Amino acid sequence: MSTIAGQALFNSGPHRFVIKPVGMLIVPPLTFDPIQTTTNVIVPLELSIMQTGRLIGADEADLWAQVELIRTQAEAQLTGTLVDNNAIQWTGMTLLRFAPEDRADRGRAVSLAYRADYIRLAP
Amino acid sequence: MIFLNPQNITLDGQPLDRVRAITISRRADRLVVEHSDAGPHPTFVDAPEQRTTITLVRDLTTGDPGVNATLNPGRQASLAFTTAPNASDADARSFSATVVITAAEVDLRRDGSATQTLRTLAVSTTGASDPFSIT
Repeated sequence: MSTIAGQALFNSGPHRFVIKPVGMLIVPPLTFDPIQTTTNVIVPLELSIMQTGRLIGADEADLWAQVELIRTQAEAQLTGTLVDNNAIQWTGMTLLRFAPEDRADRGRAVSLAYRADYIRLAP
Repeated sequence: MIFLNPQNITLDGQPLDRVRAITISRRADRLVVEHSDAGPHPTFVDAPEQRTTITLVRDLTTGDPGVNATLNPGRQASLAFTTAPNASDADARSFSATVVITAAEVDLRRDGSATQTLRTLAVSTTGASDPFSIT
């Protein structure tokens, strides 16, 4: 079970978390101009976490109600502590994006695979 | 599912004779397999895209143009047949499906007889309803 800002938005189905590249934002040589011969180190990368999974609905209405709630929260930039399925916590994460896959699946259950992105925005 | 010696087989109402057996096979065209962060095993499996294949095997007689000339891949037709536990009509059951022919293959045997294998894919009217109906 996972939560973001205390809200369990995605627990109807399995989902996983992975941290995206961390470190410094760099600009490789020759990006700005032909005489840029060295790597430019700009700022630390924002902490970004990608969640992939599948929402499962009891029926069509249930599935799309979940999607609508997530859309609302992403547009509101829901921010808080992200707690993953193993109780690992990342503070100050903002739910910024929810991207469904190209189709909803209707077999035994109605389900929708997705990707969600959280970023710790710079203050 | 297999039906040996089915009766009254028709394709768009035209009799299809000397059918030895009809088989119904189902398989997932696409499987959804999801894992969690907790371990190696799937926590959700579903088959949102499936196909039902109906195969008819029948004996051919020499030069049997009749219905054979129309059994071309891509043809959509209504398949119907009945089965019964014995030669009477007691406890007979009727089966039907809208099918699209995907292959019509003939094997010639050493004794000069031939067997035709007709492979079809069943089509659902809505996508949700089972394409193979039993009454």
